[in-house]
Amino acid sequence: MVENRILIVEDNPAISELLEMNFSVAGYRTDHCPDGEEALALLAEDGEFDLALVDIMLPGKDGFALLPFFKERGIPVIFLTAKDDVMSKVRGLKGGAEDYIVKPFEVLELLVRVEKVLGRTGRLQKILTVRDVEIFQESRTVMRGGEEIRLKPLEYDLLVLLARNKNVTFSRERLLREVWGDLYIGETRTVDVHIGQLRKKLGVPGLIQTIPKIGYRLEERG
Amino acid sequence: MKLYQKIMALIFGILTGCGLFCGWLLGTNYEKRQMLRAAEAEVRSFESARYAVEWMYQTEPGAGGTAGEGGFRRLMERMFRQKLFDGCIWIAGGEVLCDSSLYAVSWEGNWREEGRFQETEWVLEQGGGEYWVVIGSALPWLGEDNYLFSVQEVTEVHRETAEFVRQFTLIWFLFVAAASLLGAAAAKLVLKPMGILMRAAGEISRGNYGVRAKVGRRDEIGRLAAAFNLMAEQVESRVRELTLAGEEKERLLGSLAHEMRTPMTVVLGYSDTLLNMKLGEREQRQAIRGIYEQAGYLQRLSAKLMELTALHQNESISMEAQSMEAVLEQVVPMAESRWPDRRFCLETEQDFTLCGDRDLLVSLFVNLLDNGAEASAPGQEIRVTVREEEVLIRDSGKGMTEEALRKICEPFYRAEKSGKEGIGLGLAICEQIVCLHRGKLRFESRAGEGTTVTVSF
Repeated sequence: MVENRILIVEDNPAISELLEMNFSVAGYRTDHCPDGEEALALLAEDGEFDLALVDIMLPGKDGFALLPFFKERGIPVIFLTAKDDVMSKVRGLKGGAEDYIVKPFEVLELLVRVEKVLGRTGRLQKILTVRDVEIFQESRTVMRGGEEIRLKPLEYDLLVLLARNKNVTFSRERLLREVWGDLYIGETRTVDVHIGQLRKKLGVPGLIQTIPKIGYRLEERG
Repeated sequence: MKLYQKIMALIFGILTGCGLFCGWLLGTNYEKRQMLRAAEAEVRSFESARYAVEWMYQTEPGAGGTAGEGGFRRLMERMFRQKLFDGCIWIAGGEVLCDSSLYAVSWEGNWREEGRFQETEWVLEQGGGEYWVVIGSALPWLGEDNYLFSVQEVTEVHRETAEFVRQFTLIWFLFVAAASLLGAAAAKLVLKPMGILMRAAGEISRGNYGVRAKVGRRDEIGRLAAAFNLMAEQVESRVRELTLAGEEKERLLGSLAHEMRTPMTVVLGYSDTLLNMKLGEREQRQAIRGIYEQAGYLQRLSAKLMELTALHQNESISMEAQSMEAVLEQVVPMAESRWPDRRFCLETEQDFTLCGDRDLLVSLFVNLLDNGAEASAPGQEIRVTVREEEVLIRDSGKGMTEEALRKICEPFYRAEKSGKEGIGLGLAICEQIVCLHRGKLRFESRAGEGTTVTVSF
């Protein structure tokens, strides 16, 4: 299985450590550069990144200046910055950034937005693997031990969301919003019903954990 | 009521009052004196008439008999008829013997019983707006109960006095009116700069602090205007100061909010992760350590900020005479223990004493030596020189660019790649301390050639 690679360009070591930890726990591979010059050097050496998370205020070359280099290599950029003025946002998004996230950010939101950008740019992994379950995204099929598991579309979306963000706890509300969409007005009980169906069909004990009072998460390790 | 109107009314009132009183006093006195003079003149002519009567009586042959009889009486009647004794009345034994006056004798009153008019006497009578002098005297050589009276009208005297008073009053009122008008005009002229002052004060109260009152005078009003202008200047500079301080505070607050964002992001991010993700032992420890470190940073930030605001408030600072060399002799060992692999060298060309707070000065130089040590490589020397009213701190470290030089004293500015420990308030605090000691902090630096910090008091 090939994981998505994310380049983090961030001068503050505390934040870059936080980001690296979160992305690696959620199943991404990360690289980190503390400033613009190093990021360029790294790009020249190995440009195979699926996404770049870039701070704007960087020593040396700032985030806006780095943007063209990433675009040149077709790497989508998400700005992650403390600058929350409208001008910077406009400049960032007009310059071709895929998203603009203001610090302080919510980790879960960051993960979901990164995934959305990856999906939009067609860089998501084609095959997701959790334990012995394989998800083929192109054909929207799920296999376990050589047998296909037949899932309804919503069950499938739910599984993909959880599998993309392994070890991340989603609240029922969040799941409802991400899978059913913003316009869906329903009860969180719906989520419980679908999770129950999914568990039954997959038949892997302990794969989807219920986190009391919060929601659900998919755990890679048993 | 405007001030000049008040002044006018006051002048008018005072002068009118004075005029009425003086006029009354003058008129009364004048009338009395005139009456007296008129009466005296009448008395003199009465005396000569009386003497003529006496003389005629003495020289009239065949007279000498009882009064009012015989030839003397006829002589007197003749005399009276021929107006020799104008306005005279001869009374004897209770009846009028001769009368050349225009008036009838009233027998009211008992002047005969009271024994009046034994000597020549005069009284002033008045009635119906007319005045008379009545002069009377006994004629003892004619026997008892013989009196000669003279009644003379003196209304003219009174009228003249009244005319005098009337003219005086008229002239006085004209004078008072003129004086009031002139006084009001003068007051208006004197008070004209007040309008200028008032307009200037109005402008200032509307926030137009640059306005000054232009009054080209040297009198009290001129001095008032000068004092007003001085006040306006003070207000202006104070307002400017306050505005600047407010702006600085706002900037500090803005950068503080910005500065807190990163540690907050980390703390929130890690706690979010701890709450919502399944983490291994190692990652959990990393998250907790991250939170701990950033909370520590926030704590240091708030401590430094407290230090800075305390310096702004100038509280608990004790200014005492300090020997600069002694202060630095305390500081250098502290720096040496913090940076064992750097060399510190203190040289004194000329020691000087300074009125200052020892703790603050120590903290100032510890900070500056720290910066020097951080910029230098191990083994390099940091040289501290005490000169006349100056302390130089020289390092031969990596130096700074011109842009960095401009920004180093701004709160929260940090040199690139400086240790993550730094808050970025050190030099801002140093500058505040130097400012408190009425000194100046100067930096000279070139990238790669080291930095010289000059603290001059």
